Amino acid sequence: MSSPVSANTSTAVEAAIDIRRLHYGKLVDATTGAVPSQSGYEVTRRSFDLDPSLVGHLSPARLIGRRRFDPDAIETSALRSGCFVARTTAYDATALMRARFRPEDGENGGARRHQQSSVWVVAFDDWRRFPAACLAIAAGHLRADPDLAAETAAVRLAETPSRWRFQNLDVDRARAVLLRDAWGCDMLEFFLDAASSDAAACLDFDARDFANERDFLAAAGFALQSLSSSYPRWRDVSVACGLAYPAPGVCLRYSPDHALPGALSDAA
Amino acid sequence: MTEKLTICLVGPKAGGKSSLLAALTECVAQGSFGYAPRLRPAIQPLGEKDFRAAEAEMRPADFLAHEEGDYERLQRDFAQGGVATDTLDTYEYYFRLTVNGEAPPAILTPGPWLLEIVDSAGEVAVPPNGVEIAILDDVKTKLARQLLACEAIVLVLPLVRLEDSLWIGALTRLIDRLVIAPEKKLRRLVVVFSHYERLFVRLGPSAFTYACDPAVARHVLSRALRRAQWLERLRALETPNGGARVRFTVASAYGFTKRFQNPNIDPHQPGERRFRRAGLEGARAAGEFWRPFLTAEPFLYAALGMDSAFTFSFAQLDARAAGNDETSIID
Repeated sequence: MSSPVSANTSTAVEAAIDIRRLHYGKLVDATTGAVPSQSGYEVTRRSFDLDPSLVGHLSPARLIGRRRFDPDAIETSALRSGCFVARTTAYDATALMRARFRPEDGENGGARRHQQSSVWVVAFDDWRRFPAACLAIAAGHLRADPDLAAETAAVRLAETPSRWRFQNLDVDRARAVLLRDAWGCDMLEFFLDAASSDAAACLDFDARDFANERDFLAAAGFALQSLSSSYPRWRDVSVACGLAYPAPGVCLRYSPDHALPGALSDAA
Repeated sequence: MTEKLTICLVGPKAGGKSSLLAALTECVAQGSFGYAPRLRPAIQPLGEKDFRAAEAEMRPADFLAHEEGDYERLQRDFAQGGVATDTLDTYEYYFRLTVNGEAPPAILTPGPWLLEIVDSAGEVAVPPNGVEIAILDDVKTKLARQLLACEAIVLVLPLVRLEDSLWIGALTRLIDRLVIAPEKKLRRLVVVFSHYERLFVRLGPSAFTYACDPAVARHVLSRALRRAQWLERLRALETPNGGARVRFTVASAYGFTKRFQNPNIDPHQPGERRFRRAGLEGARAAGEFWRPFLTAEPFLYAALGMDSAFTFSFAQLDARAAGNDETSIID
């Protein structure tokens, strides 16, 4: 079991990323959390400057690389909070998504469930330069929470992108942490092997490797931060948590339900 | 000979489209429909690959193999309370329908039938007023293409006061466009009023007896359609230029409980759940009391063009409306 790792180090320099948002699902009542009867599926929140041509690439099904996003796509242990996927999509954009299914009559209800997803969009160049920060911020703040019906559409659909400032992780420090633990060597070796191929590949970790998703995302951030910007498969890199299948591309996956620790497999 | 047919399921959100589809095979298996038992229809879900290759060659290695398909997943979600179909795509399910019993040769000759049933979120085809709907605009284009190319449409409407619903304008617009579309291939359109069991919740164990009377269903349909402005537009589909036949029916995906005969909605469960024995899990728990009601009707009519005791034409409903009050058994 690894110890939690942090993206903040004393040798870091300050940097910033802009995050744009797209929420898809249903609006809910603020007090009960239930979906009002007139509420249907819609884009419930969007940054005003999100490229409209990009929006079509941000559906949960496309981001997980499946024809359909259904409850089976989420591992049992992640059903409540949702699965997480980070991967680069079209138009030089990288999406970080949390998606789940929640009951229409509130979080603890028993009614039929609806899809709820929150997608953050960062520039691919920011993802390549600051992957540890992107994953650390997402681990702490990206939630698939529904938006409130009481909030006006004018506010929800014209949101200003949020700017996050952080201390960027030093590459040497990241490499030192990686080489200290077995998971770090596994990740580096995995990326090295994947560099010489075009095939999809997945490296799985489970609850025996990391106590929780946040620790895994911190570790994945260290591994990605240590990759050179000239790494040939940067655009194929994906990170997934609680997803029942490997995400497309070169995927680091945290699968708490998975029985086999550190299993290396080629994705179909 | 094998005939391929595409059937599009449309209707407002939460109207019961996916539930109707999820209950289809069980309804046929239990014979819980209004067709004569001697018709002996059978329906089984297929994979897309088997549908595309009409006479699919099966390798010996695949003979006993079974992979859970989209339809089995839909049924499992339905048993667990259901999942609202998203607006990000339209979803196709495939079936093989055979009729193993007696039917007129004109009905039997084209069979067996390979059915492609297209399910979509209600917000796509019949959106409520003033909502920004889909992430993907091309979903609307895809569904429009499927509606124009399909041979049959099953329009699922919940049994509510139609004139008060937020989607009635969108429904009227959809029907208008269907009527005037010259390139459509539509041959049959079935209007299904879902959630039929809810009319009988106060009747306890007598509920199923009343529900099984076609006269009751016909009366319910007449009442539901009394103020429907879009009904007149639907009639245009049956004109020689329209080229399609229209039928009306009722259905209940939850149905009525086996043995006890009451509507199958457990008032003690959160949300809307079917009755199940406490402490029992899995398929047996989900199916012990479940008897869907008439959910096969719209699909069998759409495929076969054959009326059952519970499919009604305009002429039948018009006749009913004319002599309504004298023969009414419920009001």
